Amino acid sequence: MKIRLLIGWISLMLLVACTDDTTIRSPTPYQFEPPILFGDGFEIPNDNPFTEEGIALGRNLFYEKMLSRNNQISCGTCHQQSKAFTDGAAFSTGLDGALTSKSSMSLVNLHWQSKFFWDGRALSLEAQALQPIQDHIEMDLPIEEAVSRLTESNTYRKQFAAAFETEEISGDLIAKALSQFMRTLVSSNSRYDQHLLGENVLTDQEKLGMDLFFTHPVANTGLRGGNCGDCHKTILTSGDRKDFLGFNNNGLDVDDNLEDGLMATTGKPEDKGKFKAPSLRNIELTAPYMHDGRFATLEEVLDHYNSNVQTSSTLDQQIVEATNLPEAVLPVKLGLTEEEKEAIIAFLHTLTDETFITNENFSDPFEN
Amino acid sequence: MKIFLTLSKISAAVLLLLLGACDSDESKDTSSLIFKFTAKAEDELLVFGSKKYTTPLQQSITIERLDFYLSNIQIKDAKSDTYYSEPDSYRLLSFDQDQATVTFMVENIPADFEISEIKMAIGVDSEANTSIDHVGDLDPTNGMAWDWNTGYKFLSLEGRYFDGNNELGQEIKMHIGTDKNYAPVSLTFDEPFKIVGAFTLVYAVDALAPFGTVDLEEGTVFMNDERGDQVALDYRNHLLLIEETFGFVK
Repeated sequence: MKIRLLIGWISLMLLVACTDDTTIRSPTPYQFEPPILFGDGFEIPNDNPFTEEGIALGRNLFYEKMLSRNNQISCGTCHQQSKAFTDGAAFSTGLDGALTSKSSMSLVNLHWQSKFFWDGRALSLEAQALQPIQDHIEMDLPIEEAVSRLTESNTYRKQFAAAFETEEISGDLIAKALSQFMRTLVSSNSRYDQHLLGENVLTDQEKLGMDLFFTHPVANTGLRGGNCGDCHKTILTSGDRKDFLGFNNNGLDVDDNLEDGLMATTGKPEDKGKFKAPSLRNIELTAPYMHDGRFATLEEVLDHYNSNVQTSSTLDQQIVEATNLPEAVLPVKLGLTEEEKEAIIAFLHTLTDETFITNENFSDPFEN
Repeated sequence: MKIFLTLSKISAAVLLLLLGACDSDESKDTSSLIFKFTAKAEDELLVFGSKKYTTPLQQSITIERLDFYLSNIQIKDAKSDTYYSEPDSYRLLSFDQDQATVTFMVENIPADFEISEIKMAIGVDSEANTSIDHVGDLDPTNGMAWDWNTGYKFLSLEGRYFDGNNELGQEIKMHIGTDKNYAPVSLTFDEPFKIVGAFTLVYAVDALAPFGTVDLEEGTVFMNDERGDQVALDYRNHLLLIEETFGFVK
C-alpha cells in the first residue's frame, strides 16, 4: 500500500514537471526557415541554438549603446539597416572620432559564411561578435565591463535568464545572443530572387548583366563575360565558404603597396593582399566599395576590373587569365564594352531587397 | 520483491517492443552498400597543401583541396537484369587536409540482388544541372554552382603551381563542368555477389589524374573552355580506381 502511494506521488511529480507552471521556463525554440533558393546547407552551432528570447536579446544588444565605453555608439551605429547594415563611409568612425582601418561590412546571410572580417580572423560569428566591442578605436569596452554594466540592469538580467536560463551574464552569452540576432538578417527577396523563382521582373539589360556577371570569359571562342561570379558565387554572391577560398587579391595595388589582408590571419605569404569577397546583395546601398572604401560608385568598381587591375605576385589567377580580348596581356584588360558594364551594374541593382531594409524585426528597438 | 520482478518483466517486454520497432520489415528485404573514397597521389595517401607532387609533364604542384560530384548511382542485379537507382543521387565528395576519406551508404538495395555492375557518373546530368530543385547535395551554396544557366562544377581542384621562377607559386583553379564533361563510369563484376553484412567498396581518388596531359605553363585556370575539356578527358577514366572490396559472400 505504501509503495502504491509512493508510485502515485512520483507520477504526480512527473506530471507537474511537464506542465508550464514550473519556475524555470525553457526558451522558445525559433524555427529558422531557409529561403527556398538558398537550400539548407548551413549549420547552427550546437551550443547556440536559435531561440525567440535569444534573438530578442541579441537585437537589444546590437543596438545597445551601453556596450561602448562612453555610451555613445552601438553595433548598429556602423551597421545601419537602411544601408544594408553598413555605414556609408569608407572607414567607420569610432567612439572618440578616430577612424577604423577598414570599411564596415554588410551583415547579410551570415549562415552561409564561414570566416568573418575582411582578413578572416574570426572563424565563427560568435568569435566575431565581441571584437568590435573591445576594439580600442571602435567601442573600446572591456568585456568584463560590458558584463558588469548589463548585470546592473534588471531588464537585461531577466532577458539573459529568459534566453539562457541563467542570470549570470558572461561575454560568451553576449556573443551568443548577438550571433543569434545577426543570423536572422537574411536577404532573399530581391528582384534577382523573384526572377529565379519564375517571375518576369527583369529587363533585357538586367538579364544580359546577369549572364555577364556569372560568365568567365573565353576570348578565343568569343564567350563574353564579366568574370564576377568566379569570386561572388551564385545565389549568395559571396565568397566560397571552404577553407579560405573566399578570399582574393583583386588587383587593387602593386606588390609594394599590398596590405597584409588574409596573410595577417594565416601567416602565409601567398595570402598577402587577399581580402574577403563580400556578398553583393544590396550592393546599391553599401557604397563606398572595397575593404578601404576607395571606390565611391559601382561605375568605378567596374572600371577597376575592366581596365585598372594592378599586377602583383598574389593577384587572383582567375583575374590574371580572364579577358574578353584574345590579344590582351597583363596589366589585365577585361575588355568589356560600355554597354556591357552598364548591363552588369543594372544587374547589381536587382540585388536590392526592400523587405530586408524595412523589416521591423531587424530595426532598432530603442528608437520608438 | 514481487514488484521488482514485475518491473523487470515489464522492462523486458518494453525492451522487446523497442527492439521489434528497430527490426522493421523493410530491412529484411533490403541491403546497404558502403562506398569509401580515399584521396591519393602516387599510390599514397594525398598530403594536402604542403607536399609537392610532380605531374606527368614533370611540373611541380601542390593540391589544397578537391571536390567533385558523383551522381546517378545504379546497381544491377544479374538475375533479373534490372537496376536499383538511388533516388536523388547527387553526392558532393570533398577532400582537404581535414578529410582525406569520404564514406557514404547507398540504402534500400533489394536484398536478393546479385550485383554484377555498379554505374555512376562524375558530374551532374543536364536535367539536374540547370534545375532549381537542388536535391541531394545540389545545394547552390556549396560553392560548386556557377549559375542557373550553366549549372554546377563537376570537379573543383585548388592548388598551386611552382614553375621555378616564383617561390610563392601561382594558384591552380580547375573548375570543370558543362554537360559534355558529364562522365559515366561503370564497374562490372565477373562473378556477381550478394550483399552480406557491411559490404564495402573502396575507391582510390587519384588527385593527379586531372593533370594527365595539361601544360600548366600555358595557364593554371581551367574552366568552360578547351583546356577545361582536356582536364575532364584526363580524369574521366582515371579519377576513380577500385582498390578493394570486402564483406561479401559469393
